[in-house]
Amino acid sequence: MEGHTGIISMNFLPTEALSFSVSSAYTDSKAHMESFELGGPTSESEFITGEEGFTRYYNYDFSEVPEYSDLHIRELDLTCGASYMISKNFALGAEYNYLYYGDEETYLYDGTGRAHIGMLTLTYWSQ
Amino acid sequence: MGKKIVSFLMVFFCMVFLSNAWAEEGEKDVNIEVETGVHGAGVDAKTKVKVGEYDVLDVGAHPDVTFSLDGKIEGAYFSGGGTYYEDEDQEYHANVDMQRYVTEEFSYHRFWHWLDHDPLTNLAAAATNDGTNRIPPVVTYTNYEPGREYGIMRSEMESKTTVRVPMELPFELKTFFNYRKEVRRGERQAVTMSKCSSCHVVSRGKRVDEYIEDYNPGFIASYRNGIGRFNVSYEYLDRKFGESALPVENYYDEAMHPGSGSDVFDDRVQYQNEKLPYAELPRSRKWSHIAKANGYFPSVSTGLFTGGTYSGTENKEEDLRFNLKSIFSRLSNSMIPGLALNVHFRWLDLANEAKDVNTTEPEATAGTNAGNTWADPAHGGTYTARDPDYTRESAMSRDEWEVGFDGSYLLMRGLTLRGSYLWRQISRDFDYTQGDDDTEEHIAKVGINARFTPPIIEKPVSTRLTYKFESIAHPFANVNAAFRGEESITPGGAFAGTQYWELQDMRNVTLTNLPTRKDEIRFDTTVPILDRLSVTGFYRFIKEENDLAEGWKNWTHMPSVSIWYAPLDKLNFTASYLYRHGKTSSLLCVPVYDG
Repeated sequence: MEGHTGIISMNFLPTEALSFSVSSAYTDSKAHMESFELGGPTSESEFITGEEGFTRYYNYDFSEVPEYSDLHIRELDLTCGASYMISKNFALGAEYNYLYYGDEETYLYDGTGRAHIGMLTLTYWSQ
Repeated sequence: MGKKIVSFLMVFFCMVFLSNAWAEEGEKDVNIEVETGVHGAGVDAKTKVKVGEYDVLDVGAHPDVTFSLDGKIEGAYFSGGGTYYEDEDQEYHANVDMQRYVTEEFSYHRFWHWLDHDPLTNLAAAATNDGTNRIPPVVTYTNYEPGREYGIMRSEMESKTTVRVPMELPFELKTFFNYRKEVRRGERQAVTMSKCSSCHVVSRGKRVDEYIEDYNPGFIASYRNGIGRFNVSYEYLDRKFGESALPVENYYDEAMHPGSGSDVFDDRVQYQNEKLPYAELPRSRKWSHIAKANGYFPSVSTGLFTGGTYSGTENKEEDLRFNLKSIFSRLSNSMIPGLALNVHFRWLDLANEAKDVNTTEPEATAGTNAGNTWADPAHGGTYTARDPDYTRESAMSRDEWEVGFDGSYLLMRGLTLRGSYLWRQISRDFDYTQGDDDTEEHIAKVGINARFTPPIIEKPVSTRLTYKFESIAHPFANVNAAFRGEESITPGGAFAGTQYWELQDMRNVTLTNLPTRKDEIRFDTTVPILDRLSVTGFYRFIKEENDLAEGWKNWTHMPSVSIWYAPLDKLNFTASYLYRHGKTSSLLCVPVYDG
């Protein structure tokens, strides 16, 4: 198993009324089973009755296990927003959120997908 | 959606109007904040479960509103707020404090959780290859609802009411009554075996309508005099769990010989020719008594805490119970300047009732074994007969004893030495340990906290370094879980060959994924390089080993670095990088499908 995660964020207030923010988290994860072999005969041609204690053969071939067990997932969560104070009691806000999930090595099913979420807000607070 | 927009705008303007009205009346102690808006989502995915597991993600534009208020009216303090984001994504809370005689805390939230839908296609991996032809898998499957998305709404409502008894007593007495209700509604995947054996797996959607309801009354008595401060408390918990949705049903086909179509397989399957429920959750009830007492004696800087729990849980469908008794005690002392010491003791007794499992043992209606069960080879078979009924003995049932101490000592200004030791013995009622003996754990930890100012940067640097060692004898394990060695099976057809229960009896290897030794190192440091630049480094290393479990081993490295930088008063950045690397070595156990 191996994972890399990077997170960045930035806040910027160019004026007292205006602010910007950006935050992002990216993860790249990988995992797999290493190859292995069992001690018994794996094909009929290798099977000799009675030798080395084996009385039947098991046709289990594990050579493709590393490929079948491969997992590789990429995830991104990006948010950026801005806020503007119209007066001392009212503010306008806008935010955008991008979500990405990437199944680079599909296992049970392909969960790859993207979602976009946008928000507009009007805020009032008493003083 | 139009009605919602109008409703939320009305809420917004009502809050603004109320706020202004109170301000004109001089009610300066009431603060209001209200936020209304619209959000929209777009999704490009075959399933939402991965990209937005806890987001409703309804495509299109939807209104939302968030509000909060707090203040004081005629001596009563109050605060509250809430958010309506989607029908299945809401949160509300409220607190009232009436001159400390009565306090009320209320909260409610609900959210949506998308659940996995396994297409079962992985079962095709059991297919083999003889070199030229692909042999069909022994295990097959039917997914009755391919492509359907499953999910549940989870909600929780909590109310905590406290009343201070207004009586002249030599001590302060508070009573409380807490109530909690958790609800889960929706649909999830339900998988079971089908046809006549475990070789065929089926999947359907199951309605979910579960609740957990808690009633939790109690009291706290406090007393203070020249010697110290004392508290005694007691609480009772009554918890109910129920499922209102009907269980999903599966029809089990008639068992017949795959070649001749005759009824000679009647004695080899437990169910046939009938529809039976599965994935059914039993109703249960739990009660508990919890008593606590603590005292603090400032003249000797010493505190003493003792608590006990007695609880019972009952499966209402099967008349099964488990009981838990536990005692915890801790003594704390900081009489010597710079030295803080804690000693604790814990005892736990968990008794989970054993269950007699009576299996269905049908008799063959045709063929050589007609009139007999398969486990009773009256047909002249050479294998050993067996009664498949058994007693399920609980792996949970156990006694635990634990003693430990921890302390810290200020070696010099900015330098603190910390250490702890814990001994724990777990005695299980049945043999679920590696090596057939009680589990015994020794856990020691030593650490140092330092805060110093290096001459180069002339700013305080903080650093922590900790080493933890665990030695575990006879950890929890699955006894005789696998077979290793030379086979001694008897081929020779259905009536003469080795039976699956005889194969199971051959198992001779105990498996566990728990360590007998664990080493852990943690290190972190924060360096303020400049007034506007700070760097934090962190590293964690864990090594777990169990040589008795065929070289089972687990290694993990986790380094990370974080940087904070503010080039301007109104501009700041943070950036972090985390790396994880883990490797596990384990014994591989190959399942035998044709046992």
